[in-house]
Amino acid sequence: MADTAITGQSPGATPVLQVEGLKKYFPVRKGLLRLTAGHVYAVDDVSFAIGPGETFGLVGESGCGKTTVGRAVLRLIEPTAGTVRLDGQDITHLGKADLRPFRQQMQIVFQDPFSSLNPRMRAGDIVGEPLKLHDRRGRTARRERVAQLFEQVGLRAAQMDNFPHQFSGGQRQRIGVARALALKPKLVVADEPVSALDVSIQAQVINLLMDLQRDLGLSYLFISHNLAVVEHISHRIAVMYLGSIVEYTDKATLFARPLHPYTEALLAAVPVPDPAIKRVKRVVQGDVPSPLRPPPGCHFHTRCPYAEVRCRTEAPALREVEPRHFVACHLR
Amino acid sequence: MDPVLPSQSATHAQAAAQPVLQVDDLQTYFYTRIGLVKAVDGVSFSLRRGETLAIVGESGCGKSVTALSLMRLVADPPGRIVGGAVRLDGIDLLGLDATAMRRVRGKEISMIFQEPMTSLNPVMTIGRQISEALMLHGAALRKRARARTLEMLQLVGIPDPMERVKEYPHQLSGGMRQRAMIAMALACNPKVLIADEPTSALDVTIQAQILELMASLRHKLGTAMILITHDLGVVAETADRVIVMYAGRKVEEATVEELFAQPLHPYTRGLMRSIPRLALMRHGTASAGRLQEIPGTVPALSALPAGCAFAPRCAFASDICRREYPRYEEKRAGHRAACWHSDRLGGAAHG
Repeated sequence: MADTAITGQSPGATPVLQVEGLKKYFPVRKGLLRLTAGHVYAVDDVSFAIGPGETFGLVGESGCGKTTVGRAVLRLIEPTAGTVRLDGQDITHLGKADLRPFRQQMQIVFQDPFSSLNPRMRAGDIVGEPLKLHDRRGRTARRERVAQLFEQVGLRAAQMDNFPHQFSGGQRQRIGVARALALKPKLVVADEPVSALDVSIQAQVINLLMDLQRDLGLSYLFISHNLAVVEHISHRIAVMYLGSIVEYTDKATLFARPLHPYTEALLAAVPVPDPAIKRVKRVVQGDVPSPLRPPPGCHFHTRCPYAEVRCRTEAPALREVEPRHFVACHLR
Repeated sequence: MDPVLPSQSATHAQAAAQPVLQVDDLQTYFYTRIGLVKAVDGVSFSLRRGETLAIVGESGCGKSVTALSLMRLVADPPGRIVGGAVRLDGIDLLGLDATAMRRVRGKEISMIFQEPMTSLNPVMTIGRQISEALMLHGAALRKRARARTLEMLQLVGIPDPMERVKEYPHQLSGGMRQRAMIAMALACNPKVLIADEPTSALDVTIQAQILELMASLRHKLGTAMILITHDLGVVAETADRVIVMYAGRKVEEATVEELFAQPLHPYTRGLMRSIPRLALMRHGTASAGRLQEIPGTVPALSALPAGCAFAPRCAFASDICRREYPRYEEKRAGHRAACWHSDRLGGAAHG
């Protein structure tokens, strides 16, 4: 599995997704005239690439911009700056009609399987809707394809006529996955796909996503705050903090040798489900600063135990500290 | 201080050994349109002084309803505590009238909730909410209450308490709100603190801060705690003893070390095997590829199968499991479980 991870960066293969210098600033409007009073720097200069059949994990805490990256990649929100290439094609500035064929190739699975399915539609119609919009096959052919998708995600075709409330949380997430797969996409953005599920159900959905990748050669942009889940499913991982990537490498390196102090802090903070392992915890203090007024210099300096004078004034660039291991820190 | 006489120290030791909270055969049912839902069905446990007891389970297993029942906060209708006893230092809370219960709630036994934003009053300053609790329970008059409030905010690690007492909940971050709620819950120095998923809504670095705070407070104040959570990592790092619940019943109970080393209920073992672990938690071994799943889903409490509720999802299930509910019994010293096939479960949790 580890070898396929490299393909994303090998010079020959075209990455399925290539993001360069992505920025998304949300204006904050105030007062009667709704004048722009400032900006939320949700995503500030993010670049990465995802190869065919690869899972790219994006981790970070709430407000770090990981979800905004996912949505901007899909053009569900318009990026402020930067380019997004799907299969080498720049899709950043395509108009609605020109974008349509590309929409088929990139789909999304949402976090909450309760609010992301229309409660008044039958499960089969939910899964079949993308086919109706893009595929224009006849009713019978469409039903056949939906039945096939149901089987593929571990649901029974007989359940096609049920409504979402008749399914459990895990099954609902399977419907969400089936809908994303309907148009045979190359890239699936999975935004916290298991966070709303019970522990015993999470494993089912993670296994399903991994099986589908193996069978269909999908690429995933896997967004999550859960480090253990991200480690399990990803080939390469980027850690985000306040709108920027602070560390970016393959998963074995990231977890064996984290180089950014924030990655270190994140790993130390995860509670270990084994009372036999006693760790000396170094808990990082303080809160995440507001992305409305990110601190100058390195965004992490307010909480970093190693911060020096330079960190308070000068923003560190993302550098290749060792082969294929990128870190944004002055001290590495 | 008088020198402690031998007889006195003996009674002290006895008092310390007595559980501070004793729950016997608690039954909380909900009378709904779809029928009778036995959310908590015969749960018993005891809590010693200074101990942290974790109640683990997935949504709908009855862990939160158990907590609300102890506080007598179950909404009636549709819910009702139909049987059992909850003794706090010998006094049966279920027998108290509403006024007497109000005097106990928040003073002798208090609770913190998952989402501090929805459990704090948004139009009242943090300071007033904490001193209100103190004044209501006659613990202090206004002036003294204010001083105590500042002291509590300091204790839970809120910076600039003098400024923070004047702020409203929305002005605080999630972590600070949770600290404020802990300060409020502990202001009257309760004997028992119930924490219902206290860190589940928080980011991991903030979660680590709150867990650290709770551990240090427990050390300083010696409050006994019931920790309700679905996160086995949090359990392993904070609890002394663990109860595992499934479909309204207790299925296993043991010390935290024993439970993780040798779970005796297939559900517990399934939970432990189904969570992905970081490399540093697997003692550096390579990732296992596929996770072990627990097939199927939690059954609806209104339509529980006959016999063991876990049988339809259990790899060990046999005819007797589908016919008869297993006795909840001591399988090893201090380790109880309700399973017909515990002896076949030998081996570690994640072998």
